Amino acid sequence: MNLDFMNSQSYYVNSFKEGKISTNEVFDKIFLSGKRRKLQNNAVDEVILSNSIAELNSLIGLNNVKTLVDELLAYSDIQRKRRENGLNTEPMALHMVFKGNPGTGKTTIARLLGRIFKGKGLLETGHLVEIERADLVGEYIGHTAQKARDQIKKALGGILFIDEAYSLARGGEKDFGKEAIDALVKGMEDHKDNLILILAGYKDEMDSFIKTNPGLKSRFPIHMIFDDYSLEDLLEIAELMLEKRQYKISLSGRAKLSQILASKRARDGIHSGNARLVRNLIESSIRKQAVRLKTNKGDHTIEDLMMLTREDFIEY
Amino acid sequence: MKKCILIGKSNVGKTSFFVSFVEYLGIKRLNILFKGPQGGFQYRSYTTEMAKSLLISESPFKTKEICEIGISVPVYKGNKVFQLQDTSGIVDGMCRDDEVRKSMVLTFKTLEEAGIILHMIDTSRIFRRGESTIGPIDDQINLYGTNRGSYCILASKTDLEDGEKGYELLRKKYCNSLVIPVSTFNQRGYKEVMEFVVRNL
Repeated sequence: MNLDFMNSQSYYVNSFKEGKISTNEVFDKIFLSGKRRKLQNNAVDEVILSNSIAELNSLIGLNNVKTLVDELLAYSDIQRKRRENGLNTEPMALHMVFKGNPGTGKTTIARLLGRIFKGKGLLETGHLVEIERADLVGEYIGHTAQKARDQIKKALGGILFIDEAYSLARGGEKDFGKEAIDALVKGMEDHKDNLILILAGYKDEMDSFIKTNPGLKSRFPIHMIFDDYSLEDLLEIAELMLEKRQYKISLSGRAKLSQILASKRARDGIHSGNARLVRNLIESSIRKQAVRLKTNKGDHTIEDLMMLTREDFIEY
Repeated sequence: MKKCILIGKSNVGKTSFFVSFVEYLGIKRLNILFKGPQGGFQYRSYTTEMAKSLLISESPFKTKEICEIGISVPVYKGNKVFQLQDTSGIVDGMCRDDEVRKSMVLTFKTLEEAGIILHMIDTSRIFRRGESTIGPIDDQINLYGTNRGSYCILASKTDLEDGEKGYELLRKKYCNSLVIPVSTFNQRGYKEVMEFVVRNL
């Protein structure tokens, strides 16, 4: 232990002994490794925190996610209190795996978590860097590690969100995806106090991805499952979206929307798109409504401009 | 055996605290192990009075070696033992003296191996211009300590003029760490330090 310490840092210790570098520099190099300098001194930002928590609570469904966020917030409060009282605190690894079908809110939650952690002082900036396989895997040997390091550098202080992460294990033994995984694991260990890595993808694919890479399971202690929305949830989401855009939906329109959603879900299963399907349907109905209003010459009342009716909803 | 290190800038009162804290614990004869920068070590035995007059000085860098003493404290029905280590002070910036640099390297080595870190800062001279006792190195030690755990700040010399003011400032500046005000003059805070150390053994 002692020998190790002196050997790995011996260059700096020797230059210090020779009087070439300052005390502060040598302390940084041997104890703070030159990079762990900023952690844990991030301030709590109440405004960002309360806004983002309110936004999280306004989301439909996602109850297990909300519970987990509560847990993490309580944990970090108690850690702070413990530190103030001189008790030991372990920095907790917050790397996560998000499992769920498309449109179940994985990216939305990741973006919100960044802001919540920033507000809590757990992350420096809390921004989200969203990448996929192509951003990580290079074209020739050695290229991949470089690319992965660049992405990590970009994400420092925030969240690195890898969509369809299981595709990194695609392509067998000779694929560079393996190299990318190794580089990521290295990066997340090195910067564990200032970077959160989130792997996202379909539940089954993610499960087998993590199972086939034994090093990953222990490094991602938090697993969140994003269930498909129920039909009622989807209709509620639709209303929330319409409210935000200042539109209304007629009763018959609502029935039609419900019917389209039900038939889509029955036909496409997990690929139906959940909340994203709702958004697409609403956006297309808004376009249809515009066309309908334009062809009906005459004055449009405010009610007309806001109301989406049955004929605006068309299955595409 | 767990090691408990006293660390801080030079002349903040590490050795005074060391001797007086040992006295507070009821140890009459100090059997101190001196570890030199060259790797040599030597046992010497002192009475409290001898230690006070021989080890403590007004001028900085009196302590060049690591002074180590085994301490045993009663906890419930048994005893807990640890080693208290007094170290050579560290200074900010470039240091011209070869000997001092060597003893600082020794201090770093000891810090790496220590289980409990007591970081001492002089409260009485924080506000005095030109020789302020708070420096970048204190921030660095604090950062290292808070991430390692088992770390607290001893705000020393609180009995002197400006001591209380300095203690308040330290509490605000290092709000993430436990700050214990101590004074060798009236043994303030010794009980808290003892409790802190025992808790982390």
